[in-house]
Amino acid sequence: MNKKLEKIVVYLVFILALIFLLQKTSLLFVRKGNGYGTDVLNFYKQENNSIDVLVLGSSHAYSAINPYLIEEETGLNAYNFCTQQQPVWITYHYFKEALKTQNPQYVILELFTVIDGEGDYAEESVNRDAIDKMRISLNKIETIRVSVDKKEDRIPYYFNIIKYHTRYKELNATDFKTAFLGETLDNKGYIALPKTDYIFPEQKLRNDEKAEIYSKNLKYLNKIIDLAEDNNMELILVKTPALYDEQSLARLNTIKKIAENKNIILLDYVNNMETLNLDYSNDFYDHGHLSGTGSDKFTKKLIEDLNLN
Amino acid sequence: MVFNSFPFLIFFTIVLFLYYIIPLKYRYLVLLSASYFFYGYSNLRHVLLLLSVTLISFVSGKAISASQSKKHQKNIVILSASLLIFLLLCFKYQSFVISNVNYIFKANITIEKIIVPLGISFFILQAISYPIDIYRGDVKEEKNFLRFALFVSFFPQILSGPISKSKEMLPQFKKHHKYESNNILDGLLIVLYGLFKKVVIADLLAVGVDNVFNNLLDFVGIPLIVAVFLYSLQIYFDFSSYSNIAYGCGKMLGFELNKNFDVPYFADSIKNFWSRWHISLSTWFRDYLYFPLGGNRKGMTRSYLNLIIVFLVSALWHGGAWTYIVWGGLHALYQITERQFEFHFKNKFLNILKTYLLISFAWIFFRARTINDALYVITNMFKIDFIGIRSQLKSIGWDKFDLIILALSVLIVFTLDFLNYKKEMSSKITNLNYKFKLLIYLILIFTTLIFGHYGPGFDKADFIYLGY
Repeated sequence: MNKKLEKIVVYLVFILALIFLLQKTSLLFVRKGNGYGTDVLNFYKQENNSIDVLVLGSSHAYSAINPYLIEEETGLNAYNFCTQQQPVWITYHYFKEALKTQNPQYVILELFTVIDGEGDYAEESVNRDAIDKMRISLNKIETIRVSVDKKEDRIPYYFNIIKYHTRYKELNATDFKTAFLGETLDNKGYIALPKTDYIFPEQKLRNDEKAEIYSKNLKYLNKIIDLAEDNNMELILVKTPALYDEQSLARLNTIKKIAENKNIILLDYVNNMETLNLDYSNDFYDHGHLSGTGSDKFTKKLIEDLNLN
Repeated sequence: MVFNSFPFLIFFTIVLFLYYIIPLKYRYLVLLSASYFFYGYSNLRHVLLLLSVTLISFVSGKAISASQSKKHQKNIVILSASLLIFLLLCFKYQSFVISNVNYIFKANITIEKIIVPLGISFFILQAISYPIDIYRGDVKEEKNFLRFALFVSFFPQILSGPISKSKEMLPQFKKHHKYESNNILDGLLIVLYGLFKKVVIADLLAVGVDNVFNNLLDFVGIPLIVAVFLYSLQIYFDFSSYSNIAYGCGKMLGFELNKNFDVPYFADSIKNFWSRWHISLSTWFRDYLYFPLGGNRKGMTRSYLNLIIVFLVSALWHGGAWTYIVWGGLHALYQITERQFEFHFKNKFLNILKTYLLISFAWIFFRARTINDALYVITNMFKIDFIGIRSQLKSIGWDKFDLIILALSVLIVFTLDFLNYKKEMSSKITNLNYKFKLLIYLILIFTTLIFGHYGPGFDKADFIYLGY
């Protein structure tokens, strides 16, 4: 090998080693999460075009929809691609991320943050939970751009190590297994929340008024609708059971109108909670999340209402 | 824009790229534009000051060259130096002068606070020296104003040096620097080493040192001694890291900047220390103040007086504060005592230790916010407080991981320093196989990334010498 060629090869190896080590150290140091919601790394391990039902949204979705039960009852492969309090603009980019490898028949969007989310930017922990493990791509860069206000604050999102390098003081076996053995949390993004002391109060609230949806939420809801339409996918809007006030109900009414205009199915289980036969002492984790038993009842009703079987 | 920042990384990458793709004869224009952008990035108005300083020095140089009369030339040198010193006084020493006038005359004069332009003390010294160099015949007049403007504003050195002489730098700006991969490899290695020293060591040391010096009354005895020694390390790692990065950036662009540090804590006398610490500043004061004052050619008393003047001016150069003046005074006293009483041990190690202890003691004044703070440290550092020591050491702010990292990294750098002290290490490193250099890159990059003191949740510490 002549010297020039050897040099090129060595520099190439150096650059590859640098990228490899950067990727591995990022994975090693990144916060691994608490088992709530999707482990994005696990989503990437799903076989291409293997997901039939893609669930998008926040914790209201990942605690209410049981993908294992969907599979058991219908044979359809479902996956909750959701993270806690996920704002709609991240949900939109999650949808785009999913479409890179998946071609789901049904896309279910849970509406909690569309309705109740306020403000143009979410808390850092919420952003981190959603963005940290996304693969570097234009979509990730765009997710960061719309999720983080100040340019200088975006840099630690592009390079996780800037944020998490001090975790060298607390690294454990899971960190190493994730980075070097590719171990991920294989739970289809679902968590069966335990029963708590919480008792869901009887809800008699009715509201036919409409209220404005926060502008950034509305913008990204429309983008999600368009993206589904562009890809010929059936988008289903769902509001899982939750304790709602008049304001939220009025916003939900606004979305119902949008759905009606665009001919999209919207399943409202806030106003139709009685159809679920929920046990208010056992089936709720808190005012917005179902427990494991609640999610099973909910999932069965969802399958029925969507005629998935 | 500071070296240890993301904007600088982007800025330098773009400059490097543009610099090497532009035809050779226009490359200095890339550097000039980059330097003015770099300087104006934090405060656009200060660019006017930089331009004025450049103009004064350039026009003076031109006038000196044009004049045949030595007396006339000397007057121009005095005039330009006075003008430049006046500018320095206006921007840097206003509040010091006014606070002292208020104190002495019990007056209550107030003025609007001026933001001291970054690097003012550094680029003004360079600007002062140019007319003197022409007057002395050390350098010929630079006819190209833009090239001269680059000499005053060259971005790797404008904020904190090393202070260069016109005869060293102007010829380099004229030279056509072709791309050489070795310059990039070596320069980058030095930059990464500098960043390691700054981000891993100096900024971690700063946490402990700041915790003690900003809350002095909470500490008595050993923690104060620890803080004093740690500050001596902090300032060394901080400033030498800046010099490394400046040198490395210069090298990547094909320039050889002055060496600013030469293992200073291995000095075996105070005089020796000043030939190893902030070398570009000490040589500046030697060449443009000490020698013109007569140096040591006019008898012992006069040479001591000259030493005192040089150290006091040097102290004031660091900033308008009595703490600096005492620090400079102490160094003058050390040198005079050393010379007068030939205060040396036979054992070299003892001399190194003695020198280090004296220097560390003087640093107390350099670091303390006031003379009273410094006196508190001195009067309380030898008190014994066994009961409070555990909680005091804890409140320095480091955990066991920080201590391990500090101990290991300081050991590594001092081992390299020691090897450098024994033999010329830098040339050996330069001659290393490029594959080995690439391996060192990876080690430096990842140790800095992982163990560095940076990112969200950290107060980013500026380079100490950016304040001067």
